[in-house]
Amino acid sequence: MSFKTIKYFKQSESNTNDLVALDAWQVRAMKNVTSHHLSSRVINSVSLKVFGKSYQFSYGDLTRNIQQDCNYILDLTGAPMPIAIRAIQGSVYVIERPPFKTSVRLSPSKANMVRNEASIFCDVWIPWTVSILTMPTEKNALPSLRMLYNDGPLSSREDILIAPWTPNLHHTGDICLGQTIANFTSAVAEGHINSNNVSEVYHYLINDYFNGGWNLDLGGGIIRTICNLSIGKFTTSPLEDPDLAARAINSKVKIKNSVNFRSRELTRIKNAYLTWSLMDLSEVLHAVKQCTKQGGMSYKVSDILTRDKDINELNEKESISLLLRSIYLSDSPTFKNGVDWSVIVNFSKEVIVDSLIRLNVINTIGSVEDYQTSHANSICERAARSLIEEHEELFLSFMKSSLDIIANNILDGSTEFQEIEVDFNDIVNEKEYCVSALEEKSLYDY
Amino acid sequence: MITKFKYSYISLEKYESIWNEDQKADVSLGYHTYNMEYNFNLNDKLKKSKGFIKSLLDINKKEIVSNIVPPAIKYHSHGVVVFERPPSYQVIQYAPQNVSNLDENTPIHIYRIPIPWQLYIMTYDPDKYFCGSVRMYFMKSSLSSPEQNVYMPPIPNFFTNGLLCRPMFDKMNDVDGYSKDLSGVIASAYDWIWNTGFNHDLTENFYHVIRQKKPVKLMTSYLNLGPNVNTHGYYRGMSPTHIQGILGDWESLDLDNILDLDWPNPSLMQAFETDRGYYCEHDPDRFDIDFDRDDPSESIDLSDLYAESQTYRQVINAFLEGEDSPVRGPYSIDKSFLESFNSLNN
Repeated sequence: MSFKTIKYFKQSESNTNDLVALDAWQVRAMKNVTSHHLSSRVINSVSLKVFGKSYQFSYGDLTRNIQQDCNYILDLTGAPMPIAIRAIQGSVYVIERPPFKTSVRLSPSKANMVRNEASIFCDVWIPWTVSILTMPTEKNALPSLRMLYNDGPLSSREDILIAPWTPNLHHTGDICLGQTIANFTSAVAEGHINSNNVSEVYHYLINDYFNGGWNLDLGGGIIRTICNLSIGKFTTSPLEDPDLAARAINSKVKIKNSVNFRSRELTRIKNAYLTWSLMDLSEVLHAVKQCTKQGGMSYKVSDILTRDKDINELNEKESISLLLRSIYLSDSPTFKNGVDWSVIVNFSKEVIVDSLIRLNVINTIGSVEDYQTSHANSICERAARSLIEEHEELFLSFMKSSLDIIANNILDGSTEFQEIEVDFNDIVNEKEYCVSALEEKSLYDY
Repeated sequence: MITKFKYSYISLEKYESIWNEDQKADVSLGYHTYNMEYNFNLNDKLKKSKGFIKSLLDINKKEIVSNIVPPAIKYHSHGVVVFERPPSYQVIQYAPQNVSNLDENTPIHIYRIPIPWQLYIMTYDPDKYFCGSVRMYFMKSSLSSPEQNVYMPPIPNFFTNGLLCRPMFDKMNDVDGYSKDLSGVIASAYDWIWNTGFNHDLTENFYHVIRQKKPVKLMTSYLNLGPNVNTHGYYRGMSPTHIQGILGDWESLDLDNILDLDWPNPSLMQAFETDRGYYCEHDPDRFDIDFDRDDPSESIDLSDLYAESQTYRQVINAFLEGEDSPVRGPYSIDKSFLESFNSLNN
């Protein structure tokens, strides 16, 4: 058993408007180091070190952030939402876009290998797209964007959509944002983008995807699969289709013969894009419809939103962190970082040895001085944890009393680093001594 | 008020079970409110779905339930949706009587009128998904910026600030028959305006067509009616005959040219007269207000108010101060604390 998370809230009893939160960032039992040259191999004393930070805020900060008050002015007067929001769930927005024509600028290599300009240029019809934009939240500081194709406008959450066949997308439709995220972060930091405005975030990410040029970081994408499956007009051998061959001649599109199995992968990918460029919108939409019948590349909006909802389900520990982060980010004038604090419990070498003997890790007290092992750190620390588990009730009581004293000192205005250090024996054998030591600490700081 | 709040959360995780979702934890909670003391202690497995702070946040979570919505939402906040519709023909079924005088013999006049872009600002109950209020404005184009001007719709049953007088319903299904999500409240708001019929209550918007001379194309029949119409007892002299004249002229217009027309400026409060107080309190720089007068608001001339155009932002600012504002005052958190406390015990 081990303490992993320690979080403590306390409201001042003298001024009910003041609260303090104690948040431990380290809770760890560590074998103490000596000057002995084989220090790491010998049995030695252990210290449970709890280090934490504190936050001070007002009762109003607490209630406002629990009730998640809205900023109506901010919500209702920023840049209007993009056309067209088709569903909203929490911080997730489903945004639809009608078909449009775009220029493919695909570099036929990975980002770190790109030397020259894009070598695949063509204009293609992008079918109806459904983007799933997850806005930044307290839990995820960065947005994410997932895009799927549709053969028409959304009519229901149960419509079947497919993963796009444009590059730089994962098979789930999640856009590989790469450098975009770094650019986004700096744009937010410089105040060029409001990271809370759906329109600004969506347009930044989607424009960057469609206008930033593509490469083969994630391979050729599923367009190759679509060609292999001969979905719609997509084919691995467009020149054998008289209609496509005629269009290629009329449009002066040069497609290399790639029937030969030795043809380079790049030629096949290039041919796939050039074939796409020969299609009109109805043929592209037909291909999307055909793809929805293929397993493995289709998704429902309802499934995506349900999955995202599950991911966002928080446990108690995460909820406390979320609340503290939310108070921290609220820019409240009454919020301030409080002093750091620590609680240290020392387990003497004798106590550790006793425990190791009882755990049958070592045999006799006499052999301890000569006992050396590369596992010395782990067995000593395990012995300390075992002792904590054995005396869990006393230990928890001590820990909560310590936190209470630290909280009181901070609420009373102490600006000193708060430190409580006791011996393990004081907690389990001399409870009264331990309590009086804590009281002394409290009085001293007061 | 909550006092003596103290909460300790210490997780006690076994190394071999870090993936176990229900971790053992020591939880101690205590607080006072209304002379009652609440205490809770646990030293056992805490279900992933439970926890005091988790419960507090979940209870207060502003979750949106949204089915597929029409592609027109411009803004959304807790209990508020702003959406728009493109120019279209709409049918006005106008009963030329006040609601108290309506009976089965009241004739219904039907007009098919072309209308420009419309912007709807609606409030709804975010827990029960009932429509609370609807405002509608006309626009010359789709809303692309909060600084864009919006206009008063010269249609019956609207206040001059675009707020629809809440319709009366015969059947509960007319109110409750919509899906309990965002698409349901949007459909409900749209029906409140266009599918509940219109009568002769609230006709001041027609007066402003004549007063502000916008659009002049709707004034022809009105001016031709002259003094022969009995205007006695009608607010600002707008009789059913006048309304029918304006709607008749409107019906003769083309949808193709509807975006070329100028529409009346709206008020910010429910009537232009009450705008004076609003400007004094919330937007004093907009007019040359003499604050040395006993009543500074009287230094604003009413005709200046009619001439004042309003942007979407100005309308939203006023909406948030108005009677249908979704902004609620600070309320007690005690109820949330009690619910979360009870959830730990269940």
